Amino acid sequence: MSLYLIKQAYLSLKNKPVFILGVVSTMGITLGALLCVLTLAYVMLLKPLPYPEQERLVKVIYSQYDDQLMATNNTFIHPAAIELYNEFNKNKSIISHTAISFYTEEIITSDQRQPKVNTLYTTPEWFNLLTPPMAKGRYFSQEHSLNHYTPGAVISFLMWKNLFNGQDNILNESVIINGVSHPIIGVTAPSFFEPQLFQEGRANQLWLPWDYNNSEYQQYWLLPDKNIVMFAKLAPKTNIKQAEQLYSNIANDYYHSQVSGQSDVKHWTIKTTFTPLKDVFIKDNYYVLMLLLAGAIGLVLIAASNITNLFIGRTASLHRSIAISMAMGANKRQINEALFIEAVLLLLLSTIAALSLSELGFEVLRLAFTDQLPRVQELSLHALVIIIITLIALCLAYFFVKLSIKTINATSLLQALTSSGKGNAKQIPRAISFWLMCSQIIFSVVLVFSSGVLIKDIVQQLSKPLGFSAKNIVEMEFSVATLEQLGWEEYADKAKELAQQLRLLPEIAEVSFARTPLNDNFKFSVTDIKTSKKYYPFHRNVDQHYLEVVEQRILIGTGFSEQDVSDQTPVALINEAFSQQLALNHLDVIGHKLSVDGSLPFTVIGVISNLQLPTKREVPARFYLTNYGTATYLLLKLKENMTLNRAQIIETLNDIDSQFALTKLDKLSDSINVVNMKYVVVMTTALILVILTLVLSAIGLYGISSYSTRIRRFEIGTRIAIGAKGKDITNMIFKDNIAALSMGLIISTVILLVLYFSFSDNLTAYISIELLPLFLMTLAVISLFSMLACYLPLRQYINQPVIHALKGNE
Amino acid sequence: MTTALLTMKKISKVFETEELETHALKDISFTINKGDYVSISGPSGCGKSTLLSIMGLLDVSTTGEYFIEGVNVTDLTLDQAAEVRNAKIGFIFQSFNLIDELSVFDNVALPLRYSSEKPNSKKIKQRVTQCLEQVGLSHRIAHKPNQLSGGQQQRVAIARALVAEPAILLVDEPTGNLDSKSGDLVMDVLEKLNESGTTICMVTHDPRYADMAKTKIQLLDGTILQAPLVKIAS
Ligand SMILES: Nc1ncnc2c1ncn2[C@@H]1O[C@H](COP(=O)(O)OP(=O)(O)OP(=O)(O)O)[C@@H](O)[C@H]1O
Ligand SMILES: [Mg+2]
Repeated sequence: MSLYLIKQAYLSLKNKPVFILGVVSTMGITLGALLCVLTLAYVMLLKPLPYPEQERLVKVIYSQYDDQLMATNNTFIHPAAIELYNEFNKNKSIISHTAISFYTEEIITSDQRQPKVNTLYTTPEWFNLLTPPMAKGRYFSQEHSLNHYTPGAVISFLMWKNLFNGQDNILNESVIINGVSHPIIGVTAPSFFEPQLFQEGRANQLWLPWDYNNSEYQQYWLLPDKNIVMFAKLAPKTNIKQAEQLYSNIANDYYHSQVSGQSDVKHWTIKTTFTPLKDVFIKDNYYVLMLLLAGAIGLVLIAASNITNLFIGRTASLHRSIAISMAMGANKRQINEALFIEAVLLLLLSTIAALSLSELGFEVLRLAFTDQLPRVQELSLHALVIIIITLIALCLAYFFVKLSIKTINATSLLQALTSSGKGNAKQIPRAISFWLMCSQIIFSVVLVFSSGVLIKDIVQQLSKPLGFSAKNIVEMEFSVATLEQLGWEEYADKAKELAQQLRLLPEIAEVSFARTPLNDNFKFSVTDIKTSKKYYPFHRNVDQHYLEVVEQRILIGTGFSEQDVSDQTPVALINEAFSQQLALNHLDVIGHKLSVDGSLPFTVIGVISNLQLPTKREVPARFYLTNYGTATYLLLKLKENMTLNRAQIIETLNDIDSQFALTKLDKLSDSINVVNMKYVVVMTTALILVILTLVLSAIGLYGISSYSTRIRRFEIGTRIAIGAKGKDITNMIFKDNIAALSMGLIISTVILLVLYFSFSDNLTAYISIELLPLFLMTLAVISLFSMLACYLPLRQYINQPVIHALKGNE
Repeated sequence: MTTALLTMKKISKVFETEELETHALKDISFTINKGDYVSISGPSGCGKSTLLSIMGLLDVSTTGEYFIEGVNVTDLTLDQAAEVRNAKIGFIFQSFNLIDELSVFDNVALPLRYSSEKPNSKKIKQRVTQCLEQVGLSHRIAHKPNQLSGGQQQRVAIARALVAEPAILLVDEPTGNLDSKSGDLVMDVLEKLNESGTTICMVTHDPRYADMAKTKIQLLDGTILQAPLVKIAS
């Protein structure tokens, strides 16, 4: 390849701006999409975690199995976690370091604004294992380890910037949390990506020593503490299976020595497992990644098929000059080279376009998947991915040229030169246009249908009735700084008084002591006394106003009365889903006696309607017990068209007790909107994919058909000249294309079926017979597209005097 | 007795492009009778092909009236024109315009397949074979056009033009793409056809072939220069 050839290619492209724009925009956008998804795949699958000796890092999972060996829980028990942590530290030849951490949110009371920040209580190993780059200061050291009670705080870069305005002497500051003053000893650098071990998308802002965590479950052996996460670094020669076995035994023995009095859990088993940190991230996300990858590849394929057609058309327009070059002695290889250089130039331009679009794509991925996929924050261009994309681009260039060259028939070209023109040199092999058309149809059916399934599912999810009314409900929480010293008894009456005061506010219709209905916290083991059968419903504590406030319906029986709550009557409400598990008929459930964790039996007094969490597909079994009619969390039902004034609530709190500090005042509908927003982002992405696919395939189908119609114009003209009518010609073209169309439809159906059967485990939630109309609609739309694509280019020949088709002017 | 087969009254054709108007035909009037053998000749660009296209209803005139067998065909729809072409007119093009994918047989049969009478396949076969015999190509029935010589291809085109028994054959430079030997052969075929009663109107450059016609029309710059034997329609 000489410079001369490159220059020739440049010159021959220079006055074809539409062709260049067509290729570069189509391939740029689709290669850009592929680039982004490949980068995501790289980050998720290949890129080493940014921590030293990351391959030895494991997440420690603590599971409880019931007598049927069903996992009831994969959550730590608070005291068991500490015990296990100590065990690990005893023998460093198996596990060299362990970090135990407690995820929560805390109010910084030393700041007037009372901000609530994501907080991690942890041991120094957390930092030693992850070695976060620091913007300032240092991280925890020996003095902050378990049972040392040395205060100290590490804050995030963001927190430093936002809450402390990035002030220079930050290391002289301190934060007061739950009455303890922690001197700030360090600020993490913005380049630190912490492992998402607790919740995708969560970033900690504040790190405090483990000792200061105020978990409500510190003493409980029967209640799991879902906020605890433990990870460790295995010693170099540790065999994972043996280590798991060893510590499972230790943890199991210890557990039973602690719960020996409890008949309920006598036959339960404890297991500890070590999952490599990288696998933790990939496990559930593998198939989302695969879907994204399939979508991006599909787009590139559609685009490639479009561009192939453009290239063939372009080569055809060059036939004459190619023939002249050949006549003057150029051989086939030289011609190929010239075409190839042109294609390479174009595809490299497209790659550059793709690269410049990548940042935009990363941003979309971050927006859409921060809370679903791990490590999306780490997305950035990587040499390996750039090389892959460039190689793909070069392969495509080669492919385009190869196919175009197939359309050059040297002998007939030369013949065409010697005869006067209207020869048949421009025939594109029928097979190529057949497969181009077919592939367009296959890719577009598969992509449009899969995206359609996703969109339909989200629409369904979004339109599911929640089973309660989030309208006009405000979630409120306050903290009591001196709670630890005095205990809740000191404040219970004051909380009741607070509720009364709030009820007096003109904006408020009703108040209930209850947590947001949008979270399922704990599953308890509940035994049906009559049958001794065990169930694992979610548990909630509410007062007598709860049902009224959230407008959840009582299907049968009654709700809690004031007396039930104040006297702690052993009564329970259950939801429809639980009722269906317990008995065939809701009526039979009333009066059922349930024992919770071996406690005194509770009597079911009512069945209430199901409550659908916006994030969940199904409604789990739930049961509701009374709380004490006091708490630090409330739900406020506002009167129609009223809004709450934050200052007024703070004032009301202060009037009751100066120790009460408002920590949360959020509209429930806002929380729902946040959840729905994610769905909307995913749905929009899918919608964009559908539109892009349809546009690309419309252009592609039209391009293929208009090109093959153009090269058949003499034939069409001749047929019309000897008596064919418009209808005859349309029928003929339809007939010629129906084979490609049916082949495309059949192959795409087969692909979808194969996809369905190979991913059916993951897809069952999405697939149902109701999708048939969607599928048929997709087929109909794509068929309509192809038919229109066939018909439109014909119009110019059948709606004008036939002489236009017969004359040679292009 | 002569019957008027085809009559043109004050036919004009103007091509309008963005830059300029071309008056390709100006007030052309003439009649062709049944059994005639007419040649149209004139210098390049004088409007011969344009006139033939309008005669063959491949194109429409800008002004004027046109009758075939006494019926006014000036303002037919495209489909009606197609029907008239199919039933009344046979075309022979300079570049043959055979369809590459179809065999000789299917090329010749094409007009019958588009005809409104819808003859059955036995009838089609009979008629196609007959026409191919007429042009001396019955032994090439299964060939594809590109397996034939230029002269053979042109004779296939003639067979195709004849197959629907048209009232008139319109021929544009039938020998333009042929050597003189093949050209002579094609002209022989045409002459024989005329002798057996077929009406022919042929555009040609070659004065030798033009002289074979009974009637000669000479065009210059879109007007008829000389038409001594043609009765000018009034
Ligand atoms: N589609 C068109 N648009 C504009 N002008 C046209 C068009 N078709 C033909 N002409 C013009 O009309 C005139 C007559 O053209 P025509 O093809 O009938 O000539 P011709 O006598 O057949 O010439 P030749 O012997 O070279 O085939 C020419 O001047 C030509 O430039
Ligand atoms: Mg001409």
